[in-house]
Amino acid sequence: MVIKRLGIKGFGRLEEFEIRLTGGINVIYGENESGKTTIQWFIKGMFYGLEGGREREDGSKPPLKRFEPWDGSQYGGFLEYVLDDGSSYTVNRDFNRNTVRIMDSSFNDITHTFEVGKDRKIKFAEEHLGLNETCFEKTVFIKQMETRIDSSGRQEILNRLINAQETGYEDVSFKAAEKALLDAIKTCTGTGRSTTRPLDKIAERLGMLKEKLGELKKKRERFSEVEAYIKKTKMMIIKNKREMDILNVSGELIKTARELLRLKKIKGDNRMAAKNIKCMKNTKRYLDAGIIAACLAAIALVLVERIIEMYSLAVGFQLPVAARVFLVLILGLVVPGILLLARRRVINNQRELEKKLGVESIKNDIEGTRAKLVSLVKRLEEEGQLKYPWVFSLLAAEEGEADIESILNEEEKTWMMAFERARDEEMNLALKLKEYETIAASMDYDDEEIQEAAEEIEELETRKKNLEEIRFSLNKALEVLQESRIEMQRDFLPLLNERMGYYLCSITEGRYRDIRADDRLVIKIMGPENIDVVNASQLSSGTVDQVYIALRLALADLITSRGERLPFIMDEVFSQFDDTRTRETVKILDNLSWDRQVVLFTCKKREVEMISEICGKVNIIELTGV
Amino acid sequence: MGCIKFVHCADVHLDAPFSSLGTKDGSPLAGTGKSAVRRMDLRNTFRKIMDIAREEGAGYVFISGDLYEHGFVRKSTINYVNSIFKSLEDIKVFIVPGNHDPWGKGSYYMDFEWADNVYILAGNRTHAYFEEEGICIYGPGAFPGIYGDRDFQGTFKDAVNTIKSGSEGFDIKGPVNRGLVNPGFINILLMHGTLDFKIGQDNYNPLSSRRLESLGMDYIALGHFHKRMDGLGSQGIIYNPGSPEPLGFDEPGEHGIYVGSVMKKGNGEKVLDVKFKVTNAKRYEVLRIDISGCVTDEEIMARINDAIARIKSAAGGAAVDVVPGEALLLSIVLCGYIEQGFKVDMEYLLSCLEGRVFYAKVENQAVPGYDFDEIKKEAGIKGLFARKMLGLIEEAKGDYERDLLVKALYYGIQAIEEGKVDI
Repeated sequence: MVIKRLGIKGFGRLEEFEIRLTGGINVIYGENESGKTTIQWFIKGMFYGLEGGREREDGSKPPLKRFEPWDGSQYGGFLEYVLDDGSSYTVNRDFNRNTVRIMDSSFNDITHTFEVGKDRKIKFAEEHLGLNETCFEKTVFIKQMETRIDSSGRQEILNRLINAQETGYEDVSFKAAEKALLDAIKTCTGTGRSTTRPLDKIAERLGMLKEKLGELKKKRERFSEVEAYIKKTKMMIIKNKREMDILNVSGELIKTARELLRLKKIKGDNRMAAKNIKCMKNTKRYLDAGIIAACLAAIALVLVERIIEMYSLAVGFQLPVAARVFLVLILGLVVPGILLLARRRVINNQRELEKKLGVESIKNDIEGTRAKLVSLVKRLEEEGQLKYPWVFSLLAAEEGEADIESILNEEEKTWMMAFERARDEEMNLALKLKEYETIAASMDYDDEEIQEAAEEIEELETRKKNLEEIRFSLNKALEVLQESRIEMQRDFLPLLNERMGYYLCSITEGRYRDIRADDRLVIKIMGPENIDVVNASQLSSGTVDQVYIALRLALADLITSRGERLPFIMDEVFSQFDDTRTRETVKILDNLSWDRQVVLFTCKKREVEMISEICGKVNIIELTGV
Repeated sequence: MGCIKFVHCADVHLDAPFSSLGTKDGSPLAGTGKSAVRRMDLRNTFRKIMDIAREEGAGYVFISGDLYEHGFVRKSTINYVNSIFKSLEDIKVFIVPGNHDPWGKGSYYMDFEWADNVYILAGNRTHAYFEEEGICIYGPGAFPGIYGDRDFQGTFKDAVNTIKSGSEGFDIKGPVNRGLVNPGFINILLMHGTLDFKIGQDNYNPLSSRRLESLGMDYIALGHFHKRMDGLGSQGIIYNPGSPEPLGFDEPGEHGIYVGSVMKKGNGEKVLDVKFKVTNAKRYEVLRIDISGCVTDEEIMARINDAIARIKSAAGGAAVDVVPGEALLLSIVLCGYIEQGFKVDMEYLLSCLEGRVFYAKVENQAVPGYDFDEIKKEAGIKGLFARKMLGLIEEAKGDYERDLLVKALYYGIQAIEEGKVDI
């Protein structure tokens, strides 16, 4: 592609300014600040447009604003170019109105035939030239060749070679990209063995927290266990109390039964005694009767005697007076007396016996005790204790029976054991309860530690996941980048070497033909006949320049998708050079210019003169007082 | 004719951890204190709900599960809750366990002595029957036949031990016809579970609305999902109040409870009236802010401020903030395209928000506006790398993998172009 004409209507400091360029070498000469940079931007802007937007934070303006003419008049222009196939086009832009128009050689407006990209950009340059803006800039514009004469200059060229074969750009370093990714991986996530990187720190802290959380959870469980024990113990205390109550009742029952038994025994004894008393009573009655009879007999005798006396009755038989008196005395006094004594004795006995019995009260007592026993049994039945059949036989029996007594003894023994056991349990439970309550009091917590631990764990897990995702992405990028480099070396490198060899041969007029650069920083440059392995450090500065230009040429060829031969626009490339080197390089450029358009910008008159001198056809454009 | 007024709430989650409030970057969470404040909010909201019950003259409070967090709750909280219940006096409170406060060993529902007006419908207690008032409240154990549903496709895990699981061959006539439910009474069912779940959804205690509706209930008080859902099922008697106080950024907007009444006439006619009442103290919002075109942090902040103003005034631009700043928790995601080299100052953004809202976090998901259509056409390693990555992205299985690969693409391009990588 050759740029034929630049028509600047208004751009930066330039106004109504036209430049015609030729296919070969063009030199645009002007003092500093005369507009060289402006023209370069114009070329780029014509092909790819200018970026707008707002002022950056550092105060720099976007290109669209930067080149806006101060006096607000026209802002734009046109550029005429010819492709390798001879077709010629003109692109017209008005940056104020943001319009672009492309016309072919017959002045047809073919703007609409091109792909429209983001922000409604017309992608005609991409199609005609075969590369995007970034690549165009990297390929077409050659800044001051910073190659120095010393060894670092050679190193530089080597680096550029290596860059080129790994990335396709001499200024894009694969190593730098790889390192950037590796560094990012290291700083944010750490490696398997390091312990100070974020991911490792997080892992460590997570471990600690999870342990802490486990402990806190256990603590909670223990606390609730203790609480459960307390509840259970309280229930057992209630159960024990109930048991004690029942034992009290059954104890009462046994006592009452014993009482009833005693009473019944007494009642039995009473029965015997009662019989005796009855006898005694009868005896007493007989005695009473005897006494009365004796007295009456005595009285009767006296009466009979009296009657006999009174009536001087002749009786056949007559008792002597003494005998009669004796009889009366005996009947009237002695017999009654004896009987009275006996009577008294009987009465005493009876009284004694009766006293011993207290019969009435016994009857009441027995009634009372029976009733009590019955109610006690009922109570026990209500509580579900039904194991007292002997009570019924006791209730039924009239008198105390020996076998009931032995049962009662057994029962009492059993009861004693149960009672003691229950009382022991009561004490134990009370102690236990106190123990648990003390433990619980010491374990009770009211803080939010467990929530805080859980919260931090989740936060860290999230962060960990984020970092792991970042790590994955970085590693993936690295992996694919490395793959790409290998592919580049496989597919691109041979092409690059071939192109470079071609240009090197041409530039060195056959002296060098082949060039390789490998990892061990050895450049092999082979001459046509022999294999000369030349170390980079051995290259002369002139050769370095030649190699560099060959590299740029090769890259320029390979980067376009259409194979368009792009111009080289070189800005102050000789500023570091001495005359000899300048001369050499100019010769190279002269050779080049048969093949492609070269546009040189310089502010040195000397260079202009030298170029005119060396090169055949040179198109010189002077920027004066613009 | 019976008429009752009730309050229905669920999913309070007392004493829950609040993990979305995060820590300051790098340092462990040594008491930013915000999660403790949120837990206090839960308590206050709970108290507010009970106050509402009193103010509205409700006779019944239904709590459909997840009242507290079993793994985190403190005894003092339970005591507090119980004291509030006690202060309700004649108002009866019905609670069913949820998956976060399950019935079982160590549960406060089992071991603690609740006030007399509290009825925990779990374990052996399947329902609470009130002859005089003419109302019966049923819990999850009342109708075991509704579980083991074959209506659902896919698998589901067994419900927790609050219910007796058993596929007892549910018969279409249902409990009403079998005389288990008195149609003259007001019948209310409390449940904690997933209604008509779809595969892939959380499937805790799956329930079928069809079956629930055939039980002869007048109102079904549901819980479990934190989002409010009114009048579910074909009869519209199933209500899910959602969490009364939101618990995370996945619960934005307003939250509250239901205040309702059921009126039942002798002829079986029934009127159900349910109103939603907002109770949340704080509010979560997720803001996606497109920062395409911004070149300064101030511009980004301006867009954020606009978005906040829109929330605060709610719809309609009220003169006074409907939602005060202090009640807001914001998750701000910056998205869109920014210029290469513009590194957003997150600290600055956060410092601008400090003090104006209760909590804010900012995430930058904006990416440089690379034109990948162009880049992938380039010769050289950049184009090759882009083509390979874009190929992998296309083949990615799922959004998650895709996002990670896209990130890798950006990292790689930046590494190539700038020789450095910004995370």
